[in-house]
Amino acid sequence: MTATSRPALIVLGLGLGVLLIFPALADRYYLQLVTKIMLVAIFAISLDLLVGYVGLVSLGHAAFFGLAGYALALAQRHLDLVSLWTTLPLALVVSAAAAAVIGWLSLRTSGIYFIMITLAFGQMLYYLFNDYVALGGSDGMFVNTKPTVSVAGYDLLNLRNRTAFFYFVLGWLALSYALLVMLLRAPFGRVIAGIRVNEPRTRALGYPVQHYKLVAFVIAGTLAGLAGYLNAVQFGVVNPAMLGWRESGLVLMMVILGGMGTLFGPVLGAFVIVLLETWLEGLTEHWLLVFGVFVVAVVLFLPNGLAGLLVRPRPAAEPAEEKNGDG
Amino acid sequence: MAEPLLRTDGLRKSFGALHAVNGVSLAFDKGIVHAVIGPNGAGKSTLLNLLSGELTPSAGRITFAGRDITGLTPDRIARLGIGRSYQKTNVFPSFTCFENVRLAAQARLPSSMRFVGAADALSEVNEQAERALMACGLSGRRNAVASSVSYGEQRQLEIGMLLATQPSLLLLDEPLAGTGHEESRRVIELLQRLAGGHTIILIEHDMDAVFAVAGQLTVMVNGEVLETGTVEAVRRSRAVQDAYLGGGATP
Repeated sequence: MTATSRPALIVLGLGLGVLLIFPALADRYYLQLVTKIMLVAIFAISLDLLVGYVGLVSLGHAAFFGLAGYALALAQRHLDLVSLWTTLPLALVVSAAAAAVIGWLSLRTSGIYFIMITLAFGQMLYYLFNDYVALGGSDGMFVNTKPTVSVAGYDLLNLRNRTAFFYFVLGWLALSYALLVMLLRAPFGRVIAGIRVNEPRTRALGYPVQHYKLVAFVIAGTLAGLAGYLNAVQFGVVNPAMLGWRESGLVLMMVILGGMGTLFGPVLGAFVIVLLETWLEGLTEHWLLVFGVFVVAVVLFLPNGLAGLLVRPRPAAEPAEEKNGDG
Repeated sequence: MAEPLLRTDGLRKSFGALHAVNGVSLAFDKGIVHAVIGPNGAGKSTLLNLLSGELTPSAGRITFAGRDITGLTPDRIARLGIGRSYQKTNVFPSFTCFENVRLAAQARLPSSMRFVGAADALSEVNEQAERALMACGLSGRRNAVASSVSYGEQRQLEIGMLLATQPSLLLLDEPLAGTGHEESRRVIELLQRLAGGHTIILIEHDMDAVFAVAGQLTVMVNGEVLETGTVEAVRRSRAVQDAYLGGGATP
């Protein structure tokens, strides 16, 4: 499993070490930037479960990211919910339920049609939130207060504190990553690998492949919701763009450029793309042109994405113990 | 006579005006290798696809172990104990041979929708996979990636995957298709070993293989059953000799 191969583990361990001491080194700007990158990384690994492991390319993944953010904003405005213990589960349930419905309908198709139908659902939600004033309209909505994290009246964590929020997001990234590694090593993970490699054969062995795909879709949507919730907390605002195709396309790019089906590749992809976007934006107004050159270069020279620099992705679920001719 | 393990009653599959399988009523007895032969286009593969659920019958009924399985999905039918192999090799090419049979063996779990615990650590599944690999003669190729082993070995692997699911009925669609001489000898030996303890429906063009392993024989022509019975009876049948086995010459 490439997600836990040795070079990947070394990079992950080093990365985690740097992140753990990062708040001591960084200024406010970079602390916020890296916090954002980490929550985007959760978004990216959630999509990698679909694209890299099940083989489902979704162009509507931002829908779940945005919905969870809106769930937080609406829960604050209309239900006066301020606690993490109520708003986070609510946001996750909203994302999961949306993923169940959209997945149930979309998974009747495959290939290019699946891409189109997920895109269509994402755009429908985008326009719903963009055009409906009660949902904030094109300006979006404010998330006025950070959720409280308290037990029996005692505040465990103050999310207004940037350093605390940094570690909060880092914790969720580590947890999400570990959760996906666990799923992929479990019997469930082997079945979805079978679906990616040869879906009809997997079905003929007795696996109800549609159920597996739907479960994967809901898990991915829920994790995307977690990222969207954190995003809304960090920036204190949600807007329709969070749900749109541009956001979906950007996260898909992180997965592909980073190296799909590796988990740590999309994390790298999130870092590289957000950092590049930020730096290039500051250097030149033609930054998208430079960014485009980078994308073309990676696609041409690193067919396995940035992760391919560290490991040669092996889709087989079994570690290579002996030298085999390569097919 | 005991109830057959699988029976079809008036099974029909039409594609527009073409009746690929037309009113087929057959009984497949437990413990018997039942070969289905016939010229190309006779409807043999369509029949197999109906039995495995990959196609839905236009009419008729399929009864397996006393249960109506007509119209069930392929995964349901597989879980009920009908395993199949394909005319075109159908394995997981990027998996190792072991992982191919392991995933097949895992399908026998009550549910694979398990999210915790490493799949590698399921010792019963691993043992079942090792047995299946041994049975199909590929223990030596355990860790070779499936796409890197020879074509004949891939055919063996597919049968190994089938065995790993411990089916009570095996549907084999031309297991010798595309194999060379030496490879086909190995696959025939494997079929002979299986013939002892399994109920098999075998579609095969290679008559040597059919006569080497089959107890029952059905001849299909144009989607219909021309003759069915014991191998000896069918070989003696006038209609079969005229239509298929070649102009009345007794082999």
